[in-house]
Amino acid sequence: MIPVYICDDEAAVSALLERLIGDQIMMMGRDMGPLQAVNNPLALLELQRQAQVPAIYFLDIDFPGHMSGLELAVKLREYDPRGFIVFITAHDDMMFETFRYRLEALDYIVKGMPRMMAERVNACLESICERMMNEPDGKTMYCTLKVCDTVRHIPLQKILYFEAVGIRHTLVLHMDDEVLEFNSSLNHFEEKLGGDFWRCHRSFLVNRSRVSNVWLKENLVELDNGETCLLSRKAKSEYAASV
Amino acid sequence: MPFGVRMMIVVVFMAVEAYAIFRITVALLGERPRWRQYLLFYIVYSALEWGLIIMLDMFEGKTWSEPPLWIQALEYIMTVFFLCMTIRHGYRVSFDKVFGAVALGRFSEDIIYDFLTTAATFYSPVFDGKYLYVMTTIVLPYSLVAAFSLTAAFVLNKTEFSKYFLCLFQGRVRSVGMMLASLLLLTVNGMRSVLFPDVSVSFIYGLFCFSMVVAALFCIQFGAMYVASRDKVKAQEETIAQQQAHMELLEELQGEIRAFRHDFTNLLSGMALSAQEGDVEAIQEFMRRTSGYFDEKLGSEIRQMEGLSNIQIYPVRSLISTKLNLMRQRHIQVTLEIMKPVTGVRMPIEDLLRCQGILLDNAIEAASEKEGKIHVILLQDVGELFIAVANNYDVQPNLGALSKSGYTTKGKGHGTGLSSYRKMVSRCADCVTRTYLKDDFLVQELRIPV
Repeated sequence: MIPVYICDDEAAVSALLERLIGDQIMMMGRDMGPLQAVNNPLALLELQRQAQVPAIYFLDIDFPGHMSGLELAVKLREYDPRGFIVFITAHDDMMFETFRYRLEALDYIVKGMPRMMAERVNACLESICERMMNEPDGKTMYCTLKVCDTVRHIPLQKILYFEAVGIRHTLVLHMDDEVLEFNSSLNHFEEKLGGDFWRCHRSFLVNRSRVSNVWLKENLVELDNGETCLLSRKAKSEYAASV
Repeated sequence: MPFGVRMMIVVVFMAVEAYAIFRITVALLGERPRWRQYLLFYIVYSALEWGLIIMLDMFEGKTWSEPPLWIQALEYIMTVFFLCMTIRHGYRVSFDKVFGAVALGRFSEDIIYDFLTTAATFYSPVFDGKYLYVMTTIVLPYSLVAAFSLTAAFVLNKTEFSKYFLCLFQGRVRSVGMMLASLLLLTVNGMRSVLFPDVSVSFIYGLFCFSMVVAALFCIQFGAMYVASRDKVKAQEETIAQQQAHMELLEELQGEIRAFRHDFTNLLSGMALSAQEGDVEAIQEFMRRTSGYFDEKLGSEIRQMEGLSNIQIYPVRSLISTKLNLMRQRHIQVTLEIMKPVTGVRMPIEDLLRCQGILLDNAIEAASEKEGKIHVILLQDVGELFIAVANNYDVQPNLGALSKSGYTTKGKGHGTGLSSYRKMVSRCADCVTRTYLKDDFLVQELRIPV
């Protein structure tokens, strides 16, 4: 069960959404709940800590006198990096792309006709279910990464390799469909990730389960997506000895 | 004289010397002199001088008269280097500028001092009293050095010389040239005695050096003024280009408003009829249709202009508006979102511009041919500037290949953009970049600490 939260200071909107979402969950028999509605951000932050994550959040964009929806979302993300955030807004010229890229917000719902809102709510819940299905199950290992103010949980399966570049401690993390560059050291990750990763070169740390070939002659390690990493002499002799 | 008093006098003279160098350097950089910085500067300076004296003492026993040349030159460069580090630490100016300023400050202080001491010994009548002799050959020159450096600093501040001086360090070529010139200044004394050992330091020689320095200062001033005016012209041209882009946007908007007005009057006249007849359903239908109409027609342009006006770094604003123009010419649908004012980052402005330019150019190149779409997002939050540039594509890019240097879709000679982007980012501490695919968009994210 994924908890669902609604945070809106207008009682009417809040009640309407509660009804719409409740109906949808009931009708489609979705694995979601309990459904809770609060009218201010601080209460939501408190509630979030008490229940499990990830959760689904329907947030109003602006609360008069409180923090903005953006700030609230940043705070929620700190605790629940994999949660689903849907914004509720009065006007549809909101800067949604900003929210989508910065906070990985899922969608937004424009306040208005109940019928239209119901459609939108349904679409959101549908896409959340789809995403949940695609997510690896509870047994997968995650690599926790703090970059700036954002904490990320990356499934180990997605990681190809880490690469150290430059003189400053810059690390490039290669994943399926993503490349992330940040300041950290390879040794740190080698210690943290343990035996599943192989330090095949001074500046490479590869995921053992993604290695497809080791080319001893060319001093290369090939990964299952065709990318290659360098193989150092030391790692090569160790590898040859173990095989 | 007791040893303690002698030491005191030397310490005081060193303080005066350090103060002279410090004032001139700070004035060259256009900063305010701060006592704490001076104190640090003085400590480093005197530590170096004492270190040198002790080293020479150990090196040559008690008999040293003049230290060998290479040691002198090395000492000179070393002191300047350490002084640079001290001042750089206090004022947060880049190394090349400080190096130039310190070298110039040190050199001019030395020249003045040489000149004044030789002048004093040349002109002072022969006294019987030891104290009077000390007075004219040591105390007078030192106090004159202090006075001179204060006046020099005052004049430099009044004429705002620092502006021109800092102009000399714009661009890699110029700053390398200036560094070489500074190095030459530091070693010129040593070189002189190697090349012309028979020329003795005299009053005339000092005067000659002094006038050379003044002439050089004038040259620098004029050269820098010329450079500054040329840069100004360039900046103005850029502003004009930006304003032109802005004007075009406004004209387009105006055209659309005219069309909108035309439509709207038509719609309203139809509406008036239904209202007279009391046809509530028709009115509701009208409301439903027109509520999104205005936004659809004019929303994107208005939003873009709002976004642009949020950028308070003018060069960045100008860059983005020119690129937006280019996107419009290529019929790429662009969403620009800048929610909050963008005021500045902890990255050199040239690097920021180049990074932003590379990201935008890549997006324009890679966007889908038929229905190109680009999202540009800037969000300055507490602690960081978040930049995201996303484009759709025809062929899914291979991220693995993208991250190798020299990757390009355009054939030989291209593919330098991304690698220089990466170089600039890794140069900037605490910058984070992320490249990923999401919902058929290639997203390039850059976070820069503020």
